[in-house]
Amino acid sequence: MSALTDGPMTVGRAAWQGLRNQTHSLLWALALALILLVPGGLWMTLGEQFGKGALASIAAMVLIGIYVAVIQSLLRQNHPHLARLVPDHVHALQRSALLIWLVGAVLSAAISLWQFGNPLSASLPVLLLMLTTAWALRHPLLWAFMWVPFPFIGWLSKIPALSQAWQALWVQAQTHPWLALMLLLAAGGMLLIQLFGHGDEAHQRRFRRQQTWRAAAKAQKPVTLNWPAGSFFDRLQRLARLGYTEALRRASASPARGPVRHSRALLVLGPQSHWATHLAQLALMICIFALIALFAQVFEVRHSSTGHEVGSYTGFIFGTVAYVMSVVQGMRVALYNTRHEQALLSLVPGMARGRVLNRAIAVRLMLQFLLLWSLVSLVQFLLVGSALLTHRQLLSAALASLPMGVWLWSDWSRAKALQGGQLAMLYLLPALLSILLLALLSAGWIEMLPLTLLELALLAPVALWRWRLALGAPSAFPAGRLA
Amino acid sequence: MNDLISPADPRGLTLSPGISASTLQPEASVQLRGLRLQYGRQQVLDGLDWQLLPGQVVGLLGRNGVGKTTLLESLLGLRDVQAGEVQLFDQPLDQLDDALRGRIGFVPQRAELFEWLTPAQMLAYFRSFYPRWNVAKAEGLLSRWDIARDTPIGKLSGGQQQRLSIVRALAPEPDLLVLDEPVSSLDPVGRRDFLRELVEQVLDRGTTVVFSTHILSDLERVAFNVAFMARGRIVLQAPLDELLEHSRRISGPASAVQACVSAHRLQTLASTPLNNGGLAVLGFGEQARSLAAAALRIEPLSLEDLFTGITQ
Repeated sequence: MSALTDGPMTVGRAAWQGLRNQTHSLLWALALALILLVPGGLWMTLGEQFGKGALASIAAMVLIGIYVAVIQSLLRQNHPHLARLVPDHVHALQRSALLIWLVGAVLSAAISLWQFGNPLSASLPVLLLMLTTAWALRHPLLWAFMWVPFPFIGWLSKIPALSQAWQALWVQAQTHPWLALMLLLAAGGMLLIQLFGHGDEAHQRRFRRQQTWRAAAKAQKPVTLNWPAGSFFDRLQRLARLGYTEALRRASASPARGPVRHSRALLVLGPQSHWATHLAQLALMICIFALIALFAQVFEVRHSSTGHEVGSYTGFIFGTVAYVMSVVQGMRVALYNTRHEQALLSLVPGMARGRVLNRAIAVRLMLQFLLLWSLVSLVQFLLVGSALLTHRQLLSAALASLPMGVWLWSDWSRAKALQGGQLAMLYLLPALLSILLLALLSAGWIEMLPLTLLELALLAPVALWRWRLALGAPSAFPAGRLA
Repeated sequence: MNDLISPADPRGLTLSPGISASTLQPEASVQLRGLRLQYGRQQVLDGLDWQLLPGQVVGLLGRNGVGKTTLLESLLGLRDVQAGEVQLFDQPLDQLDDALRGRIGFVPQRAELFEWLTPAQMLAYFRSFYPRWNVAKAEGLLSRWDIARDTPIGKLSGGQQQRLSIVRALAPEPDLLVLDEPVSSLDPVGRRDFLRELVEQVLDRGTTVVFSTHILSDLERVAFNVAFMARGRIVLQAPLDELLEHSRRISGPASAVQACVSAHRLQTLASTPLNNGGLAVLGFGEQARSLAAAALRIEPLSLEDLFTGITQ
């Protein structure tokens, strides 16, 4: 191999090895089977067009997923110390990023060509999403703003200059698709190179911030994002944690007796896993969405097309369902990561043990999940249900996320740290399930009520099995001690 | 006591407080001139001058928060200084090219490894970047230090991760090895193994080594050069044996102590007023060994005494 390819091969291999080390082969096989089964099933049952569309969508999602995983690994490898001291390290990372960008472009163009007969139709948004995601991985605040422009597409399209420029660009892109693709590739490549730091202090600060955000995103520990005291985000964070702070204050102020003591034990999971924090965060999401809607109303923003409006609402549904999943994940991870604190708690006189403790935890976690799930579903129906999305779509989203709740019932004494593959499955499974449910409803194979009842009937024995497993297991605290 | 071989350091350098760095020898592995760095109101580096010669092994001592990590990171360009100049192997730090990077090894205070890889994968990863890589040494250390080759690094204990971090730094056979509290998470056996490796590295390759530590017994075991950092500067650097041999604590009536210090041309490393109105001075100089005065109490010093006195 030449010196030009050695570095990229090495850093690329490290990304792959990391994924392989952290994820069991069975999980990979399961993910692959699900990815192939859903579009395959749709193809066979609903016809080629439906199946082809689903396969193309899932292929694009998988492509973006793999791209994000590789870029994330490259950014993690871009440690300031290594950037400064390891020969050729930064350049190898940059070359790798360019390589994966090119591969992504070729594959997305191929998917687009296969599905739409035009390499640009789907590859343009896919590539833009890949690029934006890569930047958001480096500058995590971008996550918060990435979805903001979508509701404003209609408003932006009313500005003549912007609209004309976009139209002209689009016409040119349609006329010279390959040229447009090349230009996007070149511009994207240049932007990607900028992602990697060279070990200076700015890079170190950015890297530390990135690590904090990554830990927060994965809820690897009870993370406190260190916003400057008194800043807007600091106040927002305090506000979101007000319920937990109050619960903690009350717990510290009065002696705990009986069952109260057991419920207080769950405070050990930290503010991120407290129901009041969840409600506050959900309220914040609704407020932001309502503000945007209000803005649109006041400034008479109208979406340029129905598709844009549907896109905005779909984004909201996607965001809220993903939030429910992140809460499930957060509680699961918090239970494992606060095991040292749990050990201390276990020594407290009168603290519940064995079945009593396991029941208290199982009930509390499930109640929290169901409360949040019900609220999110209700909000979706109230805010979005009256608009352009059908109740079928909303029900698919709600039913797809419901089974994940039983994942919270587990043998905590044998719990292990969550791996990347398991985390990915937590989001992948509901996504695939919702596609499947929507397809079944759209094809008219089953109505909404029977589908709901069917899912509940299928879920009941699984839930019973998990419940027995959780209660019959050794004492939950400290988690992971028997793993 | 010393179960490790202590290589003689023919170029052992004795710096007295106040000596100008411009008078030092050329061809240094590391040359720092007038480094200044301030965090808020705290002056962490205050015009710091320092020089490390090829083959020198220097233990950097200083109290918590004095700026040892800042100094070591500034030395490698991992931290921007507000003023001053850093040269590594006679090249300005801002012109650090890949050839030069390949000659530097660094073990940070907290092992910063790729936790998602196994040790074998991680070493193979870094091997591809370095112009030279001692496979036998890396493999040997993995075996001797009981580091599981195929367990993800994130699952290794803190001590094993620290050892792995050291293996990674030693394998490219660097000419300059910078270690920031490398033994903090190692048990006594691990520390002894590490120090033995360090000595072998120096004997085999003449590597320049600088490491910060709070464990004075380790320094005494290695018995090379010691540098004390205080008030944003390197206030004293000398070969340890020489330092212990030429240092004394002189206490008694203030006038007698001062007279003794000036008569024997001793440098005052620290001076403390005593409760009875007297004075205690830590004196350093050639004639310290032969000090004798009836009115004074003259005691030899341990490294801990020196550390306490100098860094106060």
